[in-house]
Amino acid sequence: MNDHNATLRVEDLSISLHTRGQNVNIVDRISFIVPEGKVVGLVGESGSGKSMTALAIMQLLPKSASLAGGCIALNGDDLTRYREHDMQKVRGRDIALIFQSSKTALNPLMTVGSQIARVYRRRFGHSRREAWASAVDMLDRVGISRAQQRAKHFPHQFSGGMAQRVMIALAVACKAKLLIADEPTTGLDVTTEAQILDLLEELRRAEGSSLLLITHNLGLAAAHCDYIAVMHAGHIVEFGPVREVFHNPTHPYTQGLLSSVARPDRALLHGTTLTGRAPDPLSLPRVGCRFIHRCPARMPQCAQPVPLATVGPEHTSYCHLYEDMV
Amino acid sequence: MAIEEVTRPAAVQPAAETRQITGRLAHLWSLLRWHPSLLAGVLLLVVILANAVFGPMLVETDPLETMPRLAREGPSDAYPFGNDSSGRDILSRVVHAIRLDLGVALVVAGVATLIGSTIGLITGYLGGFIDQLLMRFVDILMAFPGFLLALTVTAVLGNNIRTIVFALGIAYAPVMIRVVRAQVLSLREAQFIEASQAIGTPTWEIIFYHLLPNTYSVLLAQATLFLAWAVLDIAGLSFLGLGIKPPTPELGAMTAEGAEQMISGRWWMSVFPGGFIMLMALTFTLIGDGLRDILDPRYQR
Repeated sequence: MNDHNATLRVEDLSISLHTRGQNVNIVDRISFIVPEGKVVGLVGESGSGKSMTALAIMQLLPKSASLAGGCIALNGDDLTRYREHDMQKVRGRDIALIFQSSKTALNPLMTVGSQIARVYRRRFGHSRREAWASAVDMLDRVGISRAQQRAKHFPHQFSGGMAQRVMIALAVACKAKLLIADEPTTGLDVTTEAQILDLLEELRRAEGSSLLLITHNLGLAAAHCDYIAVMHAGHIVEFGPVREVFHNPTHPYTQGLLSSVARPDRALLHGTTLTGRAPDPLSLPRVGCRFIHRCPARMPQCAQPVPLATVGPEHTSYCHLYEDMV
Repeated sequence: MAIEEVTRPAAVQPAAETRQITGRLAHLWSLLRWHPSLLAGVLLLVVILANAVFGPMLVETDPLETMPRLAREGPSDAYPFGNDSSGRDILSRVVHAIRLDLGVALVVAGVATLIGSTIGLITGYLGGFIDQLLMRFVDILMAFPGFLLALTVTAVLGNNIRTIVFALGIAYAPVMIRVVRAQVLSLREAQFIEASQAIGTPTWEIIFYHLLPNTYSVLLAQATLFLAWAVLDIAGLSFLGLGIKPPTPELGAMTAEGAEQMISGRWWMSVFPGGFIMLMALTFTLIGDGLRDILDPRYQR
């Protein structure tokens, strides 16, 4: 991993959640980078802390959660030290977030054109007329036909896929160096899903931005990412280039996750898929591996602090199995 | 050729715009048709507004002109509403009083809405210590009946129109603060607010561009109800002698004056002004309730 050209560098990030009088680290000392101009996929089951990680990067954590340590460096500046006032400038200028359900993520009472135009007025100081023209242009770029008319429509007049395109237009209009897409295609048809991701990829390349793609869909991650970070119960259990991770998965969780994917050429073998469900965040072990109760390769030392092993070029695994490779 | 290309879209546009306008009118009509009480309120409002705007021009008698010879005369052809104890033309006084009462009510409702919604929006969105402190203060204000509060304020500060506006504004604003704040609290968790934060929308823009328009529905319904309350309370204060003072034509004060004569059978002196107080309050209550029905999120066509 080359440090010099990382757009985003997350180090030892912990997020603590306060529920029922206790504090739990729902994200526990995770580290990963998003290299400049690359796409990094953050995959894992629901509840593994993917979205929380995204919100922590934006410094938009809900009231019940807080940052419990670590640093989030965007182009070398530690965002955790920013005050809210400064963070407001970073959002939209340096990072933009694409939300999962686009229809509720747009103001129902404003036309989509004016919502995008606001970004141009604020971010680039465009005049009303210029901003509107840029907004129409942007809608056209995200593949909305008759953009001139559609810009005057309200969010409820768009289908799910089209609304997601608007959402992408809104984020891309910011020209941020880092885009974070949190499950951008949840609830869409497979065909629409592919189109949306192709669009995102195309715009991202054109603007030269990096992308952190949060998804639970492994196929999607395989097709669109350069690097992949596998999350389980608040730990990043494996990080590496996408081919490495998919062809040579080292962590038992990644192996289980990959064998859970249905493929026509391979029957799901009993015993190789993951059993149980993601552990309850309230009963997580304080130290040691959080996959311990579901792991087929469980060992006595699994309850001990886990080492981060380098198992290949740029490929790390968070497991006792590779202790000798630390 | 070039000219033709320029003119063609221009010729199409007005047609599309007209269609849009007729479409909106049709929609408005369908709304009114299914809400008879709202329709009744709107019709009454038209009558009252027309009265307030054109009435004083149509009635020639000066509302302040005393005609001792005609004192306490009943309704006649020349003075359809009769004359009061100083012989002033009651019709003329009622017409002028409607204009005055409506004007003051509009200012009161406007002031209460402006103050209440601004405070409700800002503290509701920002939350925190100041919000808590303010809400406790609002609780204290709301523990008083609004009219009693206004009564105390006017009694202390003296009765003129400015005091009435101030007193009723203070009495009503807490209601608007609560209503708007409640709406903001639920909107604050809405995803489009979070999404606009995520692309760096500044706080003031979120408050006034994203939150405010989404509170218009409750805001409008409450403001209309304020009008109804204000009409009643202005007249009520004046009735008790703490509002607008005679000889200025004011419906409440006129009703009070006429009430003394009720026992001797001179009903016209209080029934006409009193009836118009009721009619105005009814108008705004009907519209306010109708609006609330239509704009309620649970209401689906």
